[in-house]
Amino acid sequence: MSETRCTYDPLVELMNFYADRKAIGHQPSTASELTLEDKLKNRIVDGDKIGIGDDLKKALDRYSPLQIINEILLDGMKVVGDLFGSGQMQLPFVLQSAETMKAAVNYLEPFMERVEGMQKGVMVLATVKGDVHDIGKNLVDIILTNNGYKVINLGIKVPIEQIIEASATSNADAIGMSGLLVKSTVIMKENLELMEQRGINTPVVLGGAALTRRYVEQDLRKTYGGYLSYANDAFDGLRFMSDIIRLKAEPDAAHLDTNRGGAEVKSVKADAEDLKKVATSSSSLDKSLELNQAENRSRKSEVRGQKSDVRIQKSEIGNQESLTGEQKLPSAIPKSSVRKDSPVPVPPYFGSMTIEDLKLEKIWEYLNDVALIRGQWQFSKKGRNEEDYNRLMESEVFPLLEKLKLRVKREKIFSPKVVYGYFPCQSDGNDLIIYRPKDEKNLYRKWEPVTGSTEDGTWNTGSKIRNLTEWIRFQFPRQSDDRFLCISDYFKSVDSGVFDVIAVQAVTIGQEATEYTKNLFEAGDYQDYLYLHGLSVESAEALAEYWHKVVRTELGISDKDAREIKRLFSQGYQGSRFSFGYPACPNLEDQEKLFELLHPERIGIALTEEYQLVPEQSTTAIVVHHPDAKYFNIK
Amino acid sequence: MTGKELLKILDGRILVFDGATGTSLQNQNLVEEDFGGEAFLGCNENLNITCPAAPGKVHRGFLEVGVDVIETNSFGGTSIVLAEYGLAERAYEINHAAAEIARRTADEYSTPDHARYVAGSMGPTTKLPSLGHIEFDAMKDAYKEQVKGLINGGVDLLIVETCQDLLQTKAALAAMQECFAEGIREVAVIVSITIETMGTMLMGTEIAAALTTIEPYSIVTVFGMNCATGPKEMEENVRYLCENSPKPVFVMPNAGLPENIGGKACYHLTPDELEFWMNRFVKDFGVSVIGGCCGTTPEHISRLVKIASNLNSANIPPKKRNYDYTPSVSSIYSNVALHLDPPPVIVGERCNANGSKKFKELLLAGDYDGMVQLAKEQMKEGAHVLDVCVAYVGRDEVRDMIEVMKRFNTQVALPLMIDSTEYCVIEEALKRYAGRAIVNSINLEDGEERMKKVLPLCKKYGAAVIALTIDESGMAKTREKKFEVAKRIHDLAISKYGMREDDLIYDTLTFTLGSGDEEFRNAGVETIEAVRMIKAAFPRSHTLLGVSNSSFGLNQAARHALNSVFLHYAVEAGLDLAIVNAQKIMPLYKIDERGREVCKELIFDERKFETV
Repeated sequence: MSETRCTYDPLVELMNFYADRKAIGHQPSTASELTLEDKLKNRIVDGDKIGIGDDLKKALDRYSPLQIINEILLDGMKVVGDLFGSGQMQLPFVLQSAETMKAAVNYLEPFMERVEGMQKGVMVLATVKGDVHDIGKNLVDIILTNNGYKVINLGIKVPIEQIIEASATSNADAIGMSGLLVKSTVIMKENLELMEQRGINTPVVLGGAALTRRYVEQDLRKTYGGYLSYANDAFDGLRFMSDIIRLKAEPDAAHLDTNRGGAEVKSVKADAEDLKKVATSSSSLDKSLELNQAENRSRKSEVRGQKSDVRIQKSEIGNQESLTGEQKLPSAIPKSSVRKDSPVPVPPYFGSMTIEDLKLEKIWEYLNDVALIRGQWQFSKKGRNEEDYNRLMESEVFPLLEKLKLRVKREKIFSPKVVYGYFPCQSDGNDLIIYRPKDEKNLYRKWEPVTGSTEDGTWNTGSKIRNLTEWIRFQFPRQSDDRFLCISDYFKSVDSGVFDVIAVQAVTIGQEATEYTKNLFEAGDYQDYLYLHGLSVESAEALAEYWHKVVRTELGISDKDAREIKRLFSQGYQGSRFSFGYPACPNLEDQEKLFELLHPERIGIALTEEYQLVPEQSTTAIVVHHPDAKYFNIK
Repeated sequence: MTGKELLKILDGRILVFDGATGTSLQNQNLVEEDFGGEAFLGCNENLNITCPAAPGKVHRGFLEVGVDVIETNSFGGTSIVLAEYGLAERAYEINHAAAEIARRTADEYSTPDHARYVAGSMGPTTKLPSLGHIEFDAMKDAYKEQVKGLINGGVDLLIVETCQDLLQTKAALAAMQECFAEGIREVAVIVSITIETMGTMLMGTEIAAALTTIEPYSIVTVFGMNCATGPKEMEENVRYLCENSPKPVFVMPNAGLPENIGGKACYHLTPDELEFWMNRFVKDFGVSVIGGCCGTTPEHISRLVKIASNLNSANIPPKKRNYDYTPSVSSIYSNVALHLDPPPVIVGERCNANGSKKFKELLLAGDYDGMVQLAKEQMKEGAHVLDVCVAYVGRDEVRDMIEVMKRFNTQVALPLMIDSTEYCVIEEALKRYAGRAIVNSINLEDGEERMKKVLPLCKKYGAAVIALTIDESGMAKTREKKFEVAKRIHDLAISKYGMREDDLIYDTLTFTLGSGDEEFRNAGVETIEAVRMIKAAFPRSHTLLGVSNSSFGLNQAARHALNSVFLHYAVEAGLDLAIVNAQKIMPLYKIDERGREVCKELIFDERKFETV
């Protein structure tokens, strides 16, 4: 006779396993077992600032405030930097740690003796002239400030004169310049040249999406006599500062300090090679998350970077073409194989109009969450397997996104607006001519509804559209090889005698978003800042995608649309939406013409001298209906 | 005309309603005598009795330009509004007369080629039940009188228009259902809400929440919006309805935003502009029924007729909308889908007198505002829907539920789950809830008894319902039995009680795994597998589990771990909703590996045995 006996019972196991534990949610390693020092360090790593005052109070019995910061808390920050660099910690959590650090420093401040120069060092920090992108720069600010440095953050679009002046008046130890655009790397070079001319030699650190270590270390170092370094991420910026300050504090450096001028420069320069060694020997550095990613729209900015390069070359070619265009025989213009017989759709009206009552829910249906979560928020997959990553998404990131959306709605942070229109147009070689009614006094409204089209391709409209005159002329570049494509090819030509239609749109999430995120930053809510800023930028993209869909629907060409919204992000539709500065139409200056067409000031969008949109959470585009139209590159 | 007949008509053509009645009457410069004396000056509805030629003239104006449907002059015809003129007792008579006048006039113009219909107009009255201005039943009774008068007077359909508060709409719909049940001729129903310039209904309701709330009503054939703004301002919401509503869409804008000039409302939208927008709504969006509200004249309306006749003469059928409706529930403000991505929909469990000590204490102290606070806390903790249960021994559950719902209706932004075993408690709660609630719950414990009582309430108030897999033999324990009970409920609810598959939310019952009781060793896996079977057989239905039960009897740490792991596997099997304390659910990776492993072994009963 046999009988079965249970040898392992998960229930018993579970009860034993959790027998002396408190509910999950507290740290698994019981906090009371940790030393106070480790507890504080863990708080920084975990970004756990609630009740940190109690722990700090106890620590003050044993340590001076500065000791606590330098020997305990900064140790935690170092762990954060390492985890971040090796991809084991996501940016939002880094910011949580930074907030905790700030809370700790705030708590300790009243206990510290007020000594001048208590800061370990001073950096003047700015996004360079012509550039509005400041996420990366602000990260540097956060990390440095919370590590005891004083940062004078001058903001965006800062001219070099202002940087130099701030540096002089604050007796800064270093200058940090940042910028996302390729153009900004040129500005940085000009800035360094000017500083060199004036005999300034303050150490400079550069960071930004379009920068490379090679460019800084090989090209720019020739330009500037002072110590110059490249920062791959915000923690690189921290290393840079600590190197600079350490160097200054060394006895020989200190005595050189009294000997103002060239000697110091030399000394610092002499050490540059050593510094470089220090920097590159840090193994986490190369692997670390790049500052440029933090600042960028990920793939996009890379593309934009390339594009802008292209732009510089191409605009020269463009000029040549337009110079010789008039004399050139038509046959000399290379031709693409874009179909000429594609029907012209019927727009609902001509002219333009604004739309203000937009539902955020609707816009968010078009939100590209990959771009948001990986690009803006920097939840990278690095160092995680698929399962872990998905778990993180489900448990933290998606709920977070939902919460944010709710907050945006409740607090009315976004006020999405659209101005868009349909215009009669014709191509003329590489040019695209946009027409307006001869006798229309107010161009910035709906000129006339369109009720249909006749067989010969003209529209059923009022008299205005039958009496047109040239208004705007875009001069689009043509591929010099490959398929010889040019955007103008997608439209009926002047010779055809038929008018075509182009849609143009400008969308914005509104000025409130910019101000709101700025306030968050200033209040030290860095994590919120990153999240909301990212959401606002991607919401502008989503609105552009959504409105493109509306335009297709109104033109009656939406039947080719992909069922899934996700596939719209990879052009799952008829036609194409082109933005200036991108590969097919790299001339950013064309924004001026677009502004002339739509007058987006009506919905609060302005254009800077550098053709950047303000507020930043805005985009503009021309919408081409031709079935052959897809993205292409002017090489 | 029944709902079905109306749908058939809309399959083939666009229907055109008439324009403004009120402003058209005003333009006739009627005097005191027309209204029947000074006391009745401005009571347009009394004109049906005292000066029938006046509404007749309005009808003719619109019939002349070719509209398909005219509305009776009964917008303010409920006793609630008429009481302001001392005419409350004459409500039936006035509505009856309004219907007769319209009927007679429409029939004059009706030809075999062009039938003219009469819609009985039902306005929002002057009271907002969600703000406690009037009790639901009183409002419903007033509407019943109006419905009877209109239908007996000969209308073809009813339109509840200019809705400001969904609870008011629900009262009107309840009135119609009761009338139809009493044998009054059944007619098609249109519900039309009003979205104010701020983008929501007066009570703050978003368009999606309004659609979610009205969509379940089978008596409503057409849903849409009218009044408050011109067509331009309506565009986003019309687009939303056309992309989401399973019911044909109705749009009746004002002639633009009213402008106050010298104390008079002036409307400036030209017929051209109206035509442009409505053409767009019809052709691009797929709106089925159009008309004009305040400020629209026969000239405006003739353009709408033109839109419809252009389509008809060109033999162009109405645009087929490609809508995408997601079954949802809703509060008075906003809606929540019954399936979220990522799942699950979290049902907060703390507003339950039997489950939460804190809530019980608040209830015993009669601290209703404290209860609202607790509800708000759960929202912050991440709950999507809140379970509300006020049953407590020795207390008047009906009274407590009424007090709670009065507050929760407007103060809690999350949709509610009404949790009670008492039918009258459920109905009193539903009467005070403007959104779309979930009723918790039905089962087959006493055969069909409970379904018979509860499902008609769900139909009457448009609620979704939870079905527990319990039958006459008790709580189902094996996956096969759970499925069998679910299928029985499914079949009965749909074929006999007119529920739809997506109205039903099955709870396959969670038993504690913490007792060690041999009988329940398999309970976890059976519950989870039953979820999988139900989702496979009835893909449009939903599933729910009271996750916290799974760990009953264990210490807090073990409970959190086991609840979280259990939820993980249930979601993997297709679970849509989970009743949990949102704060106490952890993502799996936060549970140490060993803990996770042991929980999984317990759920799937992976004990090891040896034979001796």
